[in-house]
Amino acid sequence: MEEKLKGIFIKVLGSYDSIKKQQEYERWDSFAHMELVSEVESRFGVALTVDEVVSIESAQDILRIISSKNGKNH
Amino acid sequence: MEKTINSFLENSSKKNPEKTAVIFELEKISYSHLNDESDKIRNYFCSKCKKGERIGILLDNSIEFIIAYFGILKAGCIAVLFPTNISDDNLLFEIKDCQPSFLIYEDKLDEKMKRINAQKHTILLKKSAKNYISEENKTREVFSEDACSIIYTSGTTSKSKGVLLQHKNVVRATENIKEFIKNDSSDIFISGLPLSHSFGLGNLHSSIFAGGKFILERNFINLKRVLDNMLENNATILAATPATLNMLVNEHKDYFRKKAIKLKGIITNTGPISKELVNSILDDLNKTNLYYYYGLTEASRSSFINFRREKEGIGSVGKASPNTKIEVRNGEICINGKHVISQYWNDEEASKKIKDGWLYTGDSGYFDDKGYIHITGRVDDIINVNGEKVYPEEIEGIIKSLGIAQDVAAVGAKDNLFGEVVHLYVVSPNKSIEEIIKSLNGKIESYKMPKKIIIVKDLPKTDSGKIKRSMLRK
Repeated sequence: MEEKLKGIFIKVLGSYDSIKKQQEYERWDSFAHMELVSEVESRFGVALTVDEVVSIESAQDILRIISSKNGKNH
Repeated sequence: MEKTINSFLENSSKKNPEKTAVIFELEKISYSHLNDESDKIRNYFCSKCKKGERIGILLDNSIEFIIAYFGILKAGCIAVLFPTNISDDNLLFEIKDCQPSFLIYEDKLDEKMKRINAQKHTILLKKSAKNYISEENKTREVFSEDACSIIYTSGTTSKSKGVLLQHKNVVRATENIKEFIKNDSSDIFISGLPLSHSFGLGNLHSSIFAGGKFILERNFINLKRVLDNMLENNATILAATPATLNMLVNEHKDYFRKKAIKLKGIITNTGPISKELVNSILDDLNKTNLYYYYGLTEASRSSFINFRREKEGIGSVGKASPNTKIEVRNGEICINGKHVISQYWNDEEASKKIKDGWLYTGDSGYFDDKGYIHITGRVDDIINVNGEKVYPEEIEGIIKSLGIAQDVAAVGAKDNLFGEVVHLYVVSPNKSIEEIIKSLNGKIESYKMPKKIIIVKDLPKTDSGKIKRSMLRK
């Protein structure tokens, strides 16, 4: 799962670090945020709620959200 | 004495030294502290630079940004405001263009500085080093005619152009805001707009001028947190783009309503606002004024409307601000007033847009029979992505320089959230759509990235070979 997310981060933000926060990334602005969400939704086949979308501040946040969704599905 | 931007801070600091001027996350700074800290930066730059030298600020929203900005102005220097999401190519071009003596930059942009070899062109000052202060008192006289800042906007080619603002332009625009929305020292602004842009910075000027409090947010990504801060700090004026308001109304409706009980006004601009969005806000927040203004970095806050009071003006951008003249000449909106710039930085060609004090905006529009101004589009092909101006030629130029396709056209397509987004038509590409996106990543700013790429056999063109964009826009 993390490898797939890493690919998305590299594509949208140019780099990946699981603990780095949004404000520490060179290219993570509000446009990139929307792009990131849309890539995560299509590549992982999940739909994020509005609260989940606004709560994302790091790759770890996304991994946590996807894990909780996968947990619910099984 | 004629007003300058730095006099806003100095006056408010004299009147209410202990009052909180700015809150940012867990930090608070009083007027006197903000004034004293910016004096230390003034001292430093007074000793290092002559009047009128450029000093770049490449910082995210933060208290350090505000201190540096006022310090630079007090030193009689010109603050060049670079957005931190700027592409490498544009940053390098702009640094070469305005030749800042110093550049204060965000630590996270260390790699970017190396990639563009920035130290070859300017002296780099890292934010965390805090080595651009001096306790030794040095002052300089600053006048309203002096230049205060340069903000770059997209140009018709890959070349961006520097909007050269004088203190008098910004003072007039700030007075226009105050005259219209009547904010005073009791008001508390909240904004997550970037301070490197005219809209975000203008709200800060307005708050400091009135001696109010300013809640600065890093951005608007976490809207729930912004709403929590809004109520917690009793904010009275929210400044946000139509895209952000759209998300608040459509995605956080109840939460927004609950947290907006103290809001006296919302101020918005940068792009078209739909009648549906205006009516939703007026219905949901039945005591809040909704101010909308029209302006460009070159002529900020040129018209105003309060949709709460002037419902007949919904769909328009209001009427000319005080001391501002607006005319429609050959279908193009033209603006005259003390807030209009006199010239662009180092760009004679672009400066031809200003004739006898009148700025030819490139926006097309008309006056209705009640005197309201309506913007109908552009006389050129500019794409407006949430207030960020994108020239198609810039994106097309990059695609061509990368040798990706035989031919290419970028056009604006309507988008519910951002107003417009970029769509790209490519002829015989030698790369997949995924690879084209990958090639553009990092080469252009995120808002310029095409949201859709369409492969076509050829492009509709005029006999002279010009792309017929209207046929692609649909």
